[in-house]
Amino acid sequence: MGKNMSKPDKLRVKSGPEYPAKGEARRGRPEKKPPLAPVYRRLRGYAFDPSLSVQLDTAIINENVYKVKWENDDDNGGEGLMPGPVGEYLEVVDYDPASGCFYGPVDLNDPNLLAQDGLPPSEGNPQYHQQMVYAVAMTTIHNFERALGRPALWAPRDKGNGGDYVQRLRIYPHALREANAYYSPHKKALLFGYFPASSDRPGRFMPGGMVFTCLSHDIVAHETTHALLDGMHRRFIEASHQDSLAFHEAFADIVALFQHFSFPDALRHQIGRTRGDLSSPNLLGELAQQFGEAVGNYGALRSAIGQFNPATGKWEPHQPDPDEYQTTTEPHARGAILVAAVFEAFLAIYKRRIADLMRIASSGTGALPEGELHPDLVNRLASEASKSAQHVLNACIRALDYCPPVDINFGDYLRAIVTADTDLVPDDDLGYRVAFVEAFRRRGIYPRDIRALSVESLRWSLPRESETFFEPLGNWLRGIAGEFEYLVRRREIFEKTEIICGKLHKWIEDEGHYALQNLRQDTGITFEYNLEGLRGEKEVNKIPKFEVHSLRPAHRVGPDGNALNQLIISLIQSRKLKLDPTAPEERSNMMLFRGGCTLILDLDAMRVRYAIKKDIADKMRLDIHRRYRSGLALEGSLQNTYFRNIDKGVGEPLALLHRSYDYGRP
Amino acid sequence: MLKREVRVRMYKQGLGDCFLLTFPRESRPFHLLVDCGALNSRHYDSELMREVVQDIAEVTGGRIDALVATHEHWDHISGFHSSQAQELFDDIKVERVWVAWTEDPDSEDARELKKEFGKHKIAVQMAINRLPDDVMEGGLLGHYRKAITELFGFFGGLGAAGDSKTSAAWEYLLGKGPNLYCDPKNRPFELKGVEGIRVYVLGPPADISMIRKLLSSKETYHGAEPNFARFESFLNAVAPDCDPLDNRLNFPFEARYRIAQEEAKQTPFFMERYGFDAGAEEEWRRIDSDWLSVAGELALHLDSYTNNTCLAFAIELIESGKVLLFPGDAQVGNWLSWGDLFWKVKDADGKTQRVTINDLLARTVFYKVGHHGSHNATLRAHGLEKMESPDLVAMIPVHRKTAKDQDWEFPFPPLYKRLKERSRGRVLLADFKSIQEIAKEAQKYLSPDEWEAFTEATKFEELYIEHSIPY
Repeated sequence: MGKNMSKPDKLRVKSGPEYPAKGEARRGRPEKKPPLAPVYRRLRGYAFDPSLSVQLDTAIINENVYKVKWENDDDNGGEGLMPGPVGEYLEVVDYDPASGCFYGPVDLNDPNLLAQDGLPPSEGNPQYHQQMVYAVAMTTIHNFERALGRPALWAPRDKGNGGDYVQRLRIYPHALREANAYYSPHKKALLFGYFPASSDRPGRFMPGGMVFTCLSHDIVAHETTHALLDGMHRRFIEASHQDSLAFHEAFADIVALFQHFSFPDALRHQIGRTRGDLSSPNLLGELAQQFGEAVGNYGALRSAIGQFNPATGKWEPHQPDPDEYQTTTEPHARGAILVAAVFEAFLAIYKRRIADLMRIASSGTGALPEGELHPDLVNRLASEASKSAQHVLNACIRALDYCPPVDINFGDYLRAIVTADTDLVPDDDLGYRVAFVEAFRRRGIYPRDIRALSVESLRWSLPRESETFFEPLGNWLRGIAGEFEYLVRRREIFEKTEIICGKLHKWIEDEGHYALQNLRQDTGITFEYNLEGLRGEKEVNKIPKFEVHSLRPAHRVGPDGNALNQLIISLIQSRKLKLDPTAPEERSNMMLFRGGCTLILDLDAMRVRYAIKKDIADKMRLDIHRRYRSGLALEGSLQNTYFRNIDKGVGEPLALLHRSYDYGRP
Repeated sequence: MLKREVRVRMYKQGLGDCFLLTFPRESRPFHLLVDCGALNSRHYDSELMREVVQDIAEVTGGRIDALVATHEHWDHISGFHSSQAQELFDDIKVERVWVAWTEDPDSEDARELKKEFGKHKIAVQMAINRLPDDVMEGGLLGHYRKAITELFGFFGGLGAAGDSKTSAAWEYLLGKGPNLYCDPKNRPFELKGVEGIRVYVLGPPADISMIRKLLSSKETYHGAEPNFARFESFLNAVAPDCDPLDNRLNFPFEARYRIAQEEAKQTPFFMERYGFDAGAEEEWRRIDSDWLSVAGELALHLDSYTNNTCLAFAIELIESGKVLLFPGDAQVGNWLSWGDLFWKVKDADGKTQRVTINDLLARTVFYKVGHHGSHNATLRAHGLEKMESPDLVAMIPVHRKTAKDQDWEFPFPPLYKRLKERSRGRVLLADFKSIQEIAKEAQKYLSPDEWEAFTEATKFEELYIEHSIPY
């Protein structure tokens, strides 16, 4: 991520006027051609949530115009954006079961709405709520696609063996009557709740006034991110390590936070108010203001920079504590450590980028003149802040491609960020990567298996020995790699991927495993029956069962013009083992232990660049896993005692996560 | 000279509590009955309960000196219900009924708690009634309904609001004799006519905010004290008398925005996107009952809530300093509140001593394990770890087959393991057949003499397990 990064990454996403519809281009009579479809649909929404609109100070900045990708008729199988809104990615269905009624769908293509950027913000109009969730969710999806350079896919509907394509994420803006909102992996749906504000400490609200979680940018972005992350990494929802659920939460918060910096009015306002110092209390670094206060907190639900201390009655900045990572276990609190680390990296980058501006503005003294900042300076600072935020967000999202497919921890994520960034931006002249490493180090987040905490050693290592071992795989893939280039429709991509995964699985089973077994050390999975609890029967299956978990292309162009053309494959294997090895083999004492790898293949050179593994035979990891799982039981909630079988089998992991620990923390 | 020895008899009436303590006394022994109940189960029936109560009647000669009713849960008081052994209790005279101060009709706090509790109990029942009742067809929510219903087994199942079987049993036992409202603020008291015994009331806490503290402090987050208030709008929605006109403010939007179900079923958008028919393509994504799942959380709250209002007490055998601990099913909030208590009492030599819960725990030689050995009814650092006596014996009133049917981990394995370590192998489960079940493990910890003393003091019978403690 160098300073030239403002150039957007090359996109494979079809959008806007660069891609005129085929029919029109062929006709060749430009003067008769109807005007091109717009690039964006402009939709009004709250920049934060409704609570800021009732304060004089923030009312003017709280209305943001979300510029949402215009959904072409052509993109959508000839349908365009339909009432609901129902588009290519999302379908909003407004059913309120607690009130026993439905709310009619908003038609954003109504000329009256097109002419005024959608409905004006209103808490009392459910159609506006539909517009708001659509706008925020689409913005979040867009950020993902931009960073990853490919269309976003939702997790398939799991049917045991493979899964069905799910085109649209379902959104229910008024599904629950409680202070909660969650992503349901079973329904591929976001469920938002509403509830009356706490009457104990009403703060800015009318006691008992309704609070709608679907009107909070932060909550909608957070839940949409859960769904997007699940679409990429389905196994991250499994609690296999103290960090796994915390990572899901933290990542969702990171996306919500950095999207704040794309609201120009709010950004300028807050920069002005804090005189450019974003580490002082400000709205940009806080999440879910209204929700936090409505459930009885003293301020925002979570903050990346500091919090109100009820003991002293004062706002206090977060102090990084190297022990924190060792001692905090509750997923949200643990996630907050990761969020704070990433935010600190952002602040360091931002400070570095504005150092020259500050010198100019303070005539080299470092002390800005009294009074308000010059609007030009505010604009420049805002532009640097927004750029830094976008870079950090992009780096965080891109790193997902460099994560192991199972059992992620924060250390792995740091390595993924560093590696992804090194690949794309070889020349780190602004020290972005060092900023990340330092912020993580200050919180005691270290990967377990590296010798030194430097950018160089954090980068995932290249496969041992030589990549020639992977030649058979490379040769096999050469045939199919090109096919992705021409796919644009999400369904086609999904179906093609399924077919190729199936073929790859068969190829490995039939012949590839001879070569791959030599690479056990790199792939982290085994092709021989040499470990306890492997699945498959020796007589029927030549090799133990494994899964070609995902396969996705990544095409990206860095700021220096270097292009990445990669194929990312992940393989997963599971072992069914006893939780307590000394206890009998009972259902309640069994657990799944997974291992696997993410292989990153360079499609141009046809070689493996990285093999990011979680070894299925790793005894130390198994120990940690066991300790975590039994600890989970030890610290268990009542929920665990009585609803155990339900949680395990068919429950909503995120719904319960949000409930059982702390009330209504989306 | 009386043989100074208290006999603790744990009955095997099923998954529930029933303990009979017998103290020597000049006239006739003093009989203290702590609870008498069992969850319903396919492994036993009310006939077993009647046998147990028959035994109690015989041993006590039809006269119980004190009946302790720790809390209003079916598994602690079912024996008093007419469907079980009420008619046998009709012939047993009870001198005194000990209950927690939260039953005192003259206490304003107690009345407030009762009101709050009753309201939420009804709400959970209403919510459950709206969940699909078929496990096969209802899928997840069907399971959920089943689980909550089982959980409500503690409340005697789901009768019509207000007249559940548990309430009936409770009312009956309160009427068995004059009530003694036990309050930790009061001084320790003695048993009538029994020498060298003192009873300390530990809980429920006198401060009702401790009772409302439903989860451990670790699990709560600063500033946001969990309370029932946040269920308010949910409760209004499930309430049976939810009249749209009276409850306008319960609806998030004005009436003109609302499309009724019937109308939506005729609307193409909802027909296509939501799909109302069974088996329709979109069925898997419907959310008709998801909002009700909060009822499970509420039910859990009610459960802990009752367990927190549970009467917990300790019996001190003054001369020897030994302590018998009966925490009922007290949970975290209840346990933690004991830390604030202290009592001034005279020790064996007549000197005034200040006693705290730590003193009592350190001298505990008998521990009735709370809540059938669940993970959250025995405090670790401030509970079990402080029970330092080398003579500690623990009894767990549990019926593992019944617990297993519900997939409940009673006793909770890590706790069970630790209990065995602390008591040096002397943990007695109510469903044990003979002492052989612990012999091998206990003999690893105990010297041959200790083992012999233990086996001599412990008796296994068809209906009960008995352990005697000299003092």
